[in-house]
Amino acid sequence: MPFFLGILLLVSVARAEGIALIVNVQNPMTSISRTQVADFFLKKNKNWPDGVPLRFFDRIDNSPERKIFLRDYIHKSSRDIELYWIGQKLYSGHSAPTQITTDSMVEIMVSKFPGALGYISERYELTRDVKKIPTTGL
Amino acid sequence: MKALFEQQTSFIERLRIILLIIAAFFILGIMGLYFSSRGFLSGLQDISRTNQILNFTSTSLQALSASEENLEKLTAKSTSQSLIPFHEASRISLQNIFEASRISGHLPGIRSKLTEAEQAVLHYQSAVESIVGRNDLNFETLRSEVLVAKQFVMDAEEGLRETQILLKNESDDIFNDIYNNRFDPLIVASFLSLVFFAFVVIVGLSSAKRLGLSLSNLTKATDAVSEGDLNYIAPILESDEFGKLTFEFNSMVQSLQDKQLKLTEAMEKVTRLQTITNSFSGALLPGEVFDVIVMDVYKALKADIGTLSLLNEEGNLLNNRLIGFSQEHEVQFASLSMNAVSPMVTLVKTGEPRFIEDVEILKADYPNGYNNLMNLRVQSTAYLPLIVGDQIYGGLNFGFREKRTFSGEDEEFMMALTRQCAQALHRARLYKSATDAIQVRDEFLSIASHELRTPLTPLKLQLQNMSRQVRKGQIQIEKPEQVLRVIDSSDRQVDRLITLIDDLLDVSRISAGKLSLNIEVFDFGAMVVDVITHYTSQTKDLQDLVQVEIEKNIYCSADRVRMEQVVINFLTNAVKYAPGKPIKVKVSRYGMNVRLEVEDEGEGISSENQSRIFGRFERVRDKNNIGGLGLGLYICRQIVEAHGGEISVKSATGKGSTFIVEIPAIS
Repeated sequence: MPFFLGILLLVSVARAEGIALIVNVQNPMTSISRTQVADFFLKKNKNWPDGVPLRFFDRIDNSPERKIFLRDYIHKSSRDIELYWIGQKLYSGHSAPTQITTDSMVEIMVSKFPGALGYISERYELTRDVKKIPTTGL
Repeated sequence: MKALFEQQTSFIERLRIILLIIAAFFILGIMGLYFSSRGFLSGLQDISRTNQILNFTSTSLQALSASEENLEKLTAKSTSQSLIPFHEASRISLQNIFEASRISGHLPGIRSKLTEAEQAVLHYQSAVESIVGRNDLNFETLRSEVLVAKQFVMDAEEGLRETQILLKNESDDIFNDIYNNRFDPLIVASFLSLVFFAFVVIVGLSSAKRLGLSLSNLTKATDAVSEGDLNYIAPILESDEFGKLTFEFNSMVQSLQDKQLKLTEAMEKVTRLQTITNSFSGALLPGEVFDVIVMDVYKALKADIGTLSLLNEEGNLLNNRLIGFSQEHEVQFASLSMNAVSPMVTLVKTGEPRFIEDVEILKADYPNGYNNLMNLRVQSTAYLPLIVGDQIYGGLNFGFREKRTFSGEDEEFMMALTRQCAQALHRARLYKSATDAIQVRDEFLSIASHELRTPLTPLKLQLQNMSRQVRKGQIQIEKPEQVLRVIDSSDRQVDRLITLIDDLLDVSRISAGKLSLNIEVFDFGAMVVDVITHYTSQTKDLQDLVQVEIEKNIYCSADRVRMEQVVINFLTNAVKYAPGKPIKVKVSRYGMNVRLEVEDEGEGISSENQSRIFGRFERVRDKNNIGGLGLGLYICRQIVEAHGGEISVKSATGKGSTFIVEIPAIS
């Protein structure tokens, strides 16, 4: 019982200090599933369904947004992800997505690439040609 | 059995094919090894090429990461950095990508990746160019531009790394392929070796076995033949050169066998001829010769039947001795007239031997002879003359019931045998005439000695008687007629002896060819009258018995004494053989000749004796033992013939005889 309460608490914290996924305004997608997000992040899928090459912008390690992102979308620790990319560099040649420090820089980068995907703090107010994209699934 | 051998296969051809197959094996082996290891070679080539591409991509990556580090420095220190290091890095990177792309023609996936990487580098370069050396940019813009450039460099690096991973996979695949197929050449080589070995063993063994069999077959045959077995026929095992050789060997042995057979036959013939010669040499009488011919000659010729035909003395009849005929036939064919149409008659007339392989050809010319031969079931026959010198004695006929051919050798053999027969017959005849002559001579000697002795015995008796009477004094001088009678008688006996001895002298003169004639011309009739007058004066009764019919004045040129001798001889014979019977003497002209005929009324002379009486030592033998040497008529004939005349006798038994002499007269 206290375990369940704990989980509920954490979920509510995340909701309170949530993150939002953003894409370029040219992106025709209206929503994106969490599984797709994970695949995009891990470069298991490098293209949008309409064929536009995907470009994921990560956040620097230890940033609250990243923690939330890893927890909610990837379900892996930061350490696991680090090891994953070391392995990927060897096995698929893929390198980890570029890590960006600020929300605004993410917004800038996403606005520069039509196939870009990034995440920002939910509180951040968008000013450029990007749009938030809702996620579906758990 | 002159079968033909057709060579269908060839041992040498087979060997050649085997060699060709072995050569094909070698070629196949080399090709197999080449193809089974060719994959390795191309694989190794591919690996080395991928290694080159890897090197190129690594160099390119190094250049890019160096450039990326420079890019980091842009935001850290200042933006007034030179573009040169970036350009240099991009140039190296692009050059290496280009080199890699150039040698990656066979790997399309890698090439497209490289093209992507190249595009990314170009984007990176343009991104870098847009920020390096620009001082008008605020930090955020600069930062974002750097991030964009980093995006491109990351794309390029990812493309290159993916290329490297693909290459590694590729070369792993190739290597695995090589590794997995590393036994291929060995397997191919082993398989080919095994097949080759099996081929060599099977073909080699079977060839060796056949060769061995053929050779041992031939060896066996030569052994058998060298041991004298000419009937050995080696089996022909193969239809190749060995078969041919075996066949030729068999043919050779066969011809050897034929030759030996011929030799044996020839020797047999020689032996038979020798046997027959031996037999003939022991056969002196015609009968014995016939027996040899019948017993040996026909046997030697393997004739079934035969005829020995001998010409009689008159030359008009063939007396046949038949061999192998039935008794009925023997009677039927006992003799043959020389006028008959028969191959035997033709043979005896011409003396030409004739060999008839098929009696059918006689059918047209000698229908009778052909029928006889057909009845006797004769298929082939031969007619051979019995000739010695110019004299033909007759002919031999051999009949064969099996159809046969007469080779030159056969004909020669038969001719040789026939010559032997003819000579044996000739010898037998000579022998017979010789023994006959000897017999005649012996007989003459006994007669001559008897005749010579006949007058001597009464002469001796008379002389002894005379001597005794003189001693006793019985004979007196006063009775001279008694003494004269004895002396006359003795004189007659002496005359008779003189006549005998004169005859003998004449004969020896004639034999020696020393009969000389004292030719003079005289009246033949007058001469005959003189002789008769003189002759009859000696015997009282004779004057009444002799009747003459003599034509005078027929002259001839002759030896008068000898002609008188002839007349006396005729008269003496007439008195001797027809005592007390009338004697007719006739002299007449007969054409160009003068003819003397002396006819008696004696017992006559049989026709067979008529031909003999003019011969030497010949007398008419009869129961009345009439003396004489039998030389008178012989001497007469020699005298008459010496004068170019003829002497003959006309007589019949019981009807008296007429002796006739004709000698040329002077017209």
